[in-house]
Amino acid sequence: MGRRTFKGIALLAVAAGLITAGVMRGELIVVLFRAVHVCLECIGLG
Amino acid sequence: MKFTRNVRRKIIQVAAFGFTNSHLGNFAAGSIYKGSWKNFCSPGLNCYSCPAAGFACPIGAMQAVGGSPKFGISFYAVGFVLALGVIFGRAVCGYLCPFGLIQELLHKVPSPKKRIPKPLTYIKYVLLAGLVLMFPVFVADSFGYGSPAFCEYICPAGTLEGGIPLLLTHPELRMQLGGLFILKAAILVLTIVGCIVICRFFCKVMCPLGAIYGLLNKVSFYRMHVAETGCVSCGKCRDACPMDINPVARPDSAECIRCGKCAAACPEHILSVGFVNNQSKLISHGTDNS
Ligand code: SF4
Ligand code: SF4
Repeated sequence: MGRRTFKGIALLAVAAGLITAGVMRGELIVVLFRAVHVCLECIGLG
Repeated sequence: MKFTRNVRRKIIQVAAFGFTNSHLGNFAAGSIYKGSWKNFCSPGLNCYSCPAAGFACPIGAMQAVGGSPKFGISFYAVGFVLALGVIFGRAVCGYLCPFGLIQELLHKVPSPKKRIPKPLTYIKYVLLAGLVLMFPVFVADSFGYGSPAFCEYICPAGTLEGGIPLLLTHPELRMQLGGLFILKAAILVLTIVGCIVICRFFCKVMCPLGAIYGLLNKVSFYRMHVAETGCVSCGKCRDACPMDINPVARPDSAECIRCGKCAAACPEHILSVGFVNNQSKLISHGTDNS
């Protein structure tokens, strides 16, 4: 396996760990709450 | 019609645009989609306050979680972008990002066309580090909530996709317009003019998501292959590149969106773009797995 492929697989494992940790500590609630309400900052009202 | 790589890419871009923004009926109603798919991020930059949006914007999600007093940096959104970037690199920009497609269409407007001075392409890294990752975490209001500074002060996708449609249908929101909207509208106008004159001006200069995917071009499985021999240095690949890259010299450039226009332009067929493949015939210059 080339070094590039190894780095890619290692980073994928890190990404999977981060996603799992994020989901387990409840980040999805914050993402969902933000995404289902009109974001006044996004549309330029602050 | 011949199904060249570029035609196939356009079809995928349009399909990705439609998939990411499938709730078209919300434009007339002036509402946004509120279902559970918004737990998930879209691969590309796409404002979650766009009435049609079916997913969360990854850059918005990073700032939302970063600004929450409970969390700090978002493991979920960073992990999501990291995973996509490791697999596809900046091909996400070339194939899947709705705002990338909008910019390519804007560039078709007839006008003098220009290239961007290289130093300006570093601005997006400053925006990523300063406004997306640090500002929401370290600058908080009295309740401990940080503001999504990139969305608030810069993002022209938010103004175009979310702001304008919602302001058109909500007089009560129009009553609240002030200096911040003037700033964001000015950035949107600058972005539109920039994209007409310079291909993917926003991607090159301002996009924090493209900055992350670009850095991952160095390790991504989807990549540029350059044959070991055969280049006659004609420069046709460089001339064809919408991102101002010489792909023979820098196949893993952070600017490369893996569109394949260079490969199509090469008369010697020494360039190819794709997942890791027959390495016995191809070596990748500037990378480390030959
Ligand atoms: S750089 Fe940003 S706006 Fe451009 S295509 Fe990539 S994610 Fe989309
Ligand atoms: S180097 Fe080739 S694949 Fe990359 S952006 Fe330029 S033309 Fe597209």
